[in-house]
Amino acid sequence: MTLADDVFGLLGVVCLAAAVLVVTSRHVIHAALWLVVCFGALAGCYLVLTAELVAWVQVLIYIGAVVVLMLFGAMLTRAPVGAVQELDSGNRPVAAVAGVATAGVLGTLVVAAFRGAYVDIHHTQIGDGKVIGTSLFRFFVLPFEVASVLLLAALVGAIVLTKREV
Amino acid sequence: MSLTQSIDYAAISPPLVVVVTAVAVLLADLFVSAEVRRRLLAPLALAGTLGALGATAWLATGPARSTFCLAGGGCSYVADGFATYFQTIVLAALVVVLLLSYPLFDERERVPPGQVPAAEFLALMLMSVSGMLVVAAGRDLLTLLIGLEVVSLPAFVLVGLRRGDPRGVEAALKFFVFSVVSTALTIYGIALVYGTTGSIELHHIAHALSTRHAHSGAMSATAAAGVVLVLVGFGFKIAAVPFHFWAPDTYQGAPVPVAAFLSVASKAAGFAGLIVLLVVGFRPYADVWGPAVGVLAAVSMTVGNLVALRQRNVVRLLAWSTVAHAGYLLMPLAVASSQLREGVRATLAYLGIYAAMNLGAFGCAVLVRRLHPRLAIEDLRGLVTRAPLTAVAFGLFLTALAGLPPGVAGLFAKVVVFRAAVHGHVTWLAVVAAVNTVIGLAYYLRVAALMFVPADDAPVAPSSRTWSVSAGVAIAAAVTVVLSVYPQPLLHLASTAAQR
Repeated sequence: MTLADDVFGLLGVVCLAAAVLVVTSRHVIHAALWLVVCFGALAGCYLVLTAELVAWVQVLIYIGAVVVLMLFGAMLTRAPVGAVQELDSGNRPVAAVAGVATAGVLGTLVVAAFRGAYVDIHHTQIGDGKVIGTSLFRFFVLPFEVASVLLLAALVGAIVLTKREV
Repeated sequence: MSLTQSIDYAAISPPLVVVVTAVAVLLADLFVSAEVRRRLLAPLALAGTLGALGATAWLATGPARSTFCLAGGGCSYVADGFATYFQTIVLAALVVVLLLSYPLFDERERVPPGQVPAAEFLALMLMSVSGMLVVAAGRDLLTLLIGLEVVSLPAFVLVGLRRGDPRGVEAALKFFVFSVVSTALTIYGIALVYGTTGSIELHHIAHALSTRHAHSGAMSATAAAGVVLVLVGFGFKIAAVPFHFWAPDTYQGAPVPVAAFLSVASKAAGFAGLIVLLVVGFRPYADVWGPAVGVLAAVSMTVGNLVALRQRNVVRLLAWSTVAHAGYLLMPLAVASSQLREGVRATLAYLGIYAAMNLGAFGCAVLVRRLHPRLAIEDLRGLVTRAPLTAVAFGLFLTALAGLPPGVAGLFAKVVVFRAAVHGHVTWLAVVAAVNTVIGLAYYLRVAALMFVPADDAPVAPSSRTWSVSAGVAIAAAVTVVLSVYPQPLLHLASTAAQR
């Protein structure tokens, strides 16, 4: 066990615990804040794996944009700030069983398949902007360009759905 | 090695033309007056679609073109017979849907619940179609996934675009939630497949799966789980049971032309991606997904047909009928792997015929809606005296969907998939489908017969504003009739497309 292993494991536990708190919290705002912790721990995991750019993109997009958007959404729609009972659906037990079963099956499979797979982080290419950019424009030009259509559609769609009059 | 990929613009011309048209529609909306806008935008979108259709036809006559190729071999985008076949279906469907949706943004329309903003509607529909065109030609997991997202995201907005219509909002929300969950499952499956094969390119995946199959039990089980999860994700897109829950509510809440669009173009794109994934990428695991697809097919047609029997609304009936047809479309893919090419050919041929007859049926629903906004099945009683041409066309499409004369095209389609199933040693599935065809007869014929019950109503003069809808229905009817008497060209195209 190296230091990197320990840090990775610790961040994983923090991430998992925060994720559980997101779905069990009775406060919408608390759930959003726990999501920040969860995403932050995940960014830490990426950093340990030397995926520098992905980690910072995770911080910028998910914490900086997605969660802030959720908080703004809660604010602008006057969502209840205190504890809310209705956040719990009556299907909770069924959902819990389905969730735990799926996680169990997939977790077991992934652990069994990749038990011996180790990344030697001392002899690997650092995932910085240059490496990602090069591979993006060398191998993934088409998905990259198609994603721009996706963003345009999202922009137009968001505006047209929230606009009041035709 | 060059830093960027070389791009063959001729190969990607169909989606390129469609995206440029979408942007042109948005820009034109900014710069022209409201009066010009009404007359300019829809024809502009139609012209762009016809241009893309021309480009696709030109590509179909030439040899297969590949572009965005990876350094290690394998290309992201291949414009071969398979891709152009699907692109032609999607673009032809778009032509009809654009004609059907023309009254939606006519400012003189007073049919509740109101109009939709023209430029955004057209641009979003074109963008969704560009995603479908990419899915049809995409040959790696990333391109397929992003293409599917480009199909779905504008579709959520299209469903909920009608203002002041709570049902539309509910429909859009249901569609959104189901689609997002299905995408999450697909991405997880893709991650597992990538993790076990180390590639996102479909031929590499097939190679890795076939060589690594024997190596480690856990590895191959994980890859199989990935394959199943990807299958589940596509099951949502094509609305196969048990992933169909969104379809009836979404179709009913959406504007009817959008429902037609979802039930034909979106389903075709889902099938394009599904076939490419299963037949190219996951071929070595045919023993895993074959039986799963067979069960999905059997359950889809049974549930779809049984629930359709109880429907009282025309659009809901058609929605459940599309669920049942997803089952018929899946059936030939469940055959033994040695007969898979014949199976793919059958699915492709069925899809071509299904597109024409289903678009026609939804188009007739648009016409009927102008007389009976509730679209209850009971309203159809005696339609033949009020709107004789609509009733005749609707009758043609319904009998075609049932697989009976005079809509012989539907019968050809059924024969093709049955033959593929029997040749492919899934006779049990053919038996299930035969029983289902009989169940289907019950509700299609009930509706068709209801329209021809004599009534003493006076004929209603067709409104001058429905000429485009009538043109759309006429195109679908013409294609259905032509396919009924002379289906050979379509069958030939389908077998060329399946030769890969």
